[in-house]
Amino acid sequence: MNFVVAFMGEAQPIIDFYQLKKTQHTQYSLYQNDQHSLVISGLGRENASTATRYLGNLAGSQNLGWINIGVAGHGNLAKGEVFICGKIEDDQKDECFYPPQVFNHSICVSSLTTCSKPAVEYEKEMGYDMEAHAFYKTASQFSIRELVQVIKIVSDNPSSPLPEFNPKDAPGMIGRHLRQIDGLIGQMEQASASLQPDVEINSFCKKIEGVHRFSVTRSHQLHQLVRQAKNLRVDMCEIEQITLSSANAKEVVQKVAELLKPYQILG
Amino acid sequence: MIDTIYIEDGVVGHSRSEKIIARFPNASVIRCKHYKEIFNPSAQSFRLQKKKPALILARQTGTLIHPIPPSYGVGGGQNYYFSHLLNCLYDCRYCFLQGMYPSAHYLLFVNYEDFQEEILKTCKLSDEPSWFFSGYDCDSLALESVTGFAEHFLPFFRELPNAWVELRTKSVAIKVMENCTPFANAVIAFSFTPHEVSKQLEHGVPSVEARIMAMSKLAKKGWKVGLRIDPLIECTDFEHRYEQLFRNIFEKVPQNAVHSVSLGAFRMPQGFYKKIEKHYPEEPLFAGSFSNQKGAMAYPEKTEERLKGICQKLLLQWIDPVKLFTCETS
Repeated sequence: MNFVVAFMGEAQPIIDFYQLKKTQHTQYSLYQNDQHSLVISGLGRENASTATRYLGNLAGSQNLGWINIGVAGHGNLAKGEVFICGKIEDDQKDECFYPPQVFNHSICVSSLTTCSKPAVEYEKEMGYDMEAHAFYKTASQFSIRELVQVIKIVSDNPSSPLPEFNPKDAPGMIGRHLRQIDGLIGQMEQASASLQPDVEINSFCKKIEGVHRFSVTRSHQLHQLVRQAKNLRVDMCEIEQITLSSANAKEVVQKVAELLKPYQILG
Repeated sequence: MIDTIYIEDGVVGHSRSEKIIARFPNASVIRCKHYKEIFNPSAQSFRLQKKKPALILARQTGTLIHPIPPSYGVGGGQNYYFSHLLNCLYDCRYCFLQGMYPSAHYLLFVNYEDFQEEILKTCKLSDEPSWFFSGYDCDSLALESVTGFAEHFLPFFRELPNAWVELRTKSVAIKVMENCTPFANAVIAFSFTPHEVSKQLEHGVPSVEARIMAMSKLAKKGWKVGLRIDPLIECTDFEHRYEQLFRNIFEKVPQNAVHSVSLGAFRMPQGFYKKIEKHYPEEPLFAGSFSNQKGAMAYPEKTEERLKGICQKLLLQWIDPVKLFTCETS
């Protein structure tokens, strides 16, 4: 999971919960363990976008989970309540995002507007922050939209406006919800894993490609056939034997295609 | 069942929207300017959304009635389809919808009256009866409890002597038809594959047995029923399985209630096929012997002819040849 968080006070409970370690001294503070990375972006759209891009480029793989967590104002939710964003607007742009809510959770869903300045007026059913829109726009270039989510904890509302908020309260407010958020993170990670390339197929093909010289087209055909063979539960040893007894890549592809034919009728 | 409802600003307050939203008091309701903001963006996962689709309430302002190719009809000269709903409650692995739409959310167009107005206009274009097919981009009945589609459209078609309507379905939600008097120009058409194929490919669909029972009930009540053997799927013991399926159907459904039977082999535009294969890379169906036939991914011509030939022979033991129609791969 990739976390993008504006301030250290918001990041600390996540760092503690997942036992993340500071890993690099770069332009951003980066905390990681085997599964998760967290970058502290700083305030505002620009910082959120560049920190997200930085983390995306660092991660290398597509379709990983992304979450922006932080505190936010809200028009009617109580201070300390958690919400997940179902719609993200921006006070300077027309473009809206609608993070698809495909996972099971009991977190309240709300709209949110990303603002240039801290919001002082509150609309009902609306949250206010300064990063989410830019985060979502950038993170969804690295992953499918279902795997990019924004979760906020209410720091201020009409009855308790922003000047009354003490940033020192942020770690405790966020920490209280991490167990619940972790349930969602687990589902997102599972979904992300299901979208990753099949390592088994790739390493098997690499082995075959080590025996003969495969052009790009033939390599593509081989991957396709090996994937089909796996789906049809064909014994992979047979493909290895075909590879060894064939004179070249073309013959391998032809013979594997022949091998699959009897299996191709649905059971 | 529905946790998230998106609603276009333009249909907020529409009586049908209000009624639907009231059915799901715990759903989050999110407003949008246009359904395309949610339905159309790229980089959405159809597969993930299919696990928990949202409902989008919108107004169809584009084309409401579409012509269909002549080879897809069931005897009529003027053939059209219309879609009040895009996407389906069920999850059939062979379904082209998985490749056609970027989103698996249910997109419901609540402006039924605009569809009806367009149907009336279309009927006036020809002296011969026009056929209106529902169930190409959705299942006509599966979401009836939410949409009230059949409840609204059947009385409308009952009063249209120059129009036929076909509701195509795999659902057993037939209460609306059970509670009203049948009429001559409506066909309730059920799609089938053999039980063994259905179990592997038609996820969330009522059992073959339950569908036959529903079909039988409607036939006995006096509704004309249709049988849609589409797509034909090549499978182990093909002839025996299809023979058994037809026997099970025609032992329960009186032949004189059957308006038509149509047959079509698996076929899909290549672009859709590739997308679906990416969504479900582990699916054995897509390791089948399909290849590009006239622009569509389909069985080789000989295989297709063989499968159709077997089913035609089996079906003609039960029905009059004039009731049998075949859909061609094109």
